Amino acid sequence: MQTDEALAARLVDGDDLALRELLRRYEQRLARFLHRQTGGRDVEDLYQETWLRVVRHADRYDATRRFSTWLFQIAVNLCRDWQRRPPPEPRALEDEPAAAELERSDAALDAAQLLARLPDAQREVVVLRYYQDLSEDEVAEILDIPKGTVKSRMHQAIARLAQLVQPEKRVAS
Amino acid sequence: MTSRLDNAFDEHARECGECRETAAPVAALSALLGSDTAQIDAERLSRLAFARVAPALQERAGALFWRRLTRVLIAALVPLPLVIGVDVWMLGWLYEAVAAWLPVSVAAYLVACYGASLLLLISGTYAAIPLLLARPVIEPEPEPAGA
Repeated sequence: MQTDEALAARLVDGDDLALRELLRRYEQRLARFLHRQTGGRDVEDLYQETWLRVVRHADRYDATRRFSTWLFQIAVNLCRDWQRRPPPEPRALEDEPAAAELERSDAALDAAQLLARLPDAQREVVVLRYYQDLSEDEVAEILDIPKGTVKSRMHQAIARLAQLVQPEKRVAS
Repeated sequence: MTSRLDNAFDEHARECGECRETAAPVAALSALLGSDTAQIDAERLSRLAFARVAPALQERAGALFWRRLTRVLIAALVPLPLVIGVDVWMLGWLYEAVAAWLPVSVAAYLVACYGASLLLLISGTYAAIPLLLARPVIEPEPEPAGA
């Protein structure tokens, strides 16, 4: 079985079998990553755009690096561009929801809501580190930040999530 | 998924003194984040993505074909003047040799026929180059490690 890196190198030649295999290997991970980063909106567009960039920029891919790192770098950049776009309609979940709103919705907190309430930078780290099961080094490389920043963002994310799931502490603080 | 989440959170909690001191609800967070059960039809996404990416892929394959064709044609055209020169010299020698034995018109006819067949052969050889390049290359499957 060919490695991801070998398959990615074949994309330069327009090899459709290589693309099909890479799609098969990464479809679940990439789709779920995009879903978590965007709260499920525009996943189809972002998924297609990610692979389009992979093919268009295949000749820039450095085969000495892991393909997964390159793929998620592209996906992260696309998500950041997407987040900068003005939302098409008023968002149900603001980045900084009012305290009253938090109190109201505590009972219905689920994973998607928790993630939606994290700042983008912290959410990126949580999704890559925990859901994608990547090491801190890989996350640092994908996000192009030092490993220490990965750790600190993770800590901030956990503290913030803890506040959300423990309303009494939030009120007390 | 949940076990990975647990391990990752535990890993952070072990390393982070502050989280230990404040007794961050690591288990509760793990349970909540691990309960993410979003249903995603990733196969459908891949089909749509492939359909959208296919033209870019064909563009790449086409560009590669023309690059290869140009390289091969250049390589094949380099010796062509020599081949034609040798053929012309050989036809002239053949005409002289045949004309010494047969009438000139018959010798000219025979040499012209031979020249035409040579021309056809050379043209066919050069015409085959793009056809051979366009043929899909099937790479052999690597043998299993135990074989």
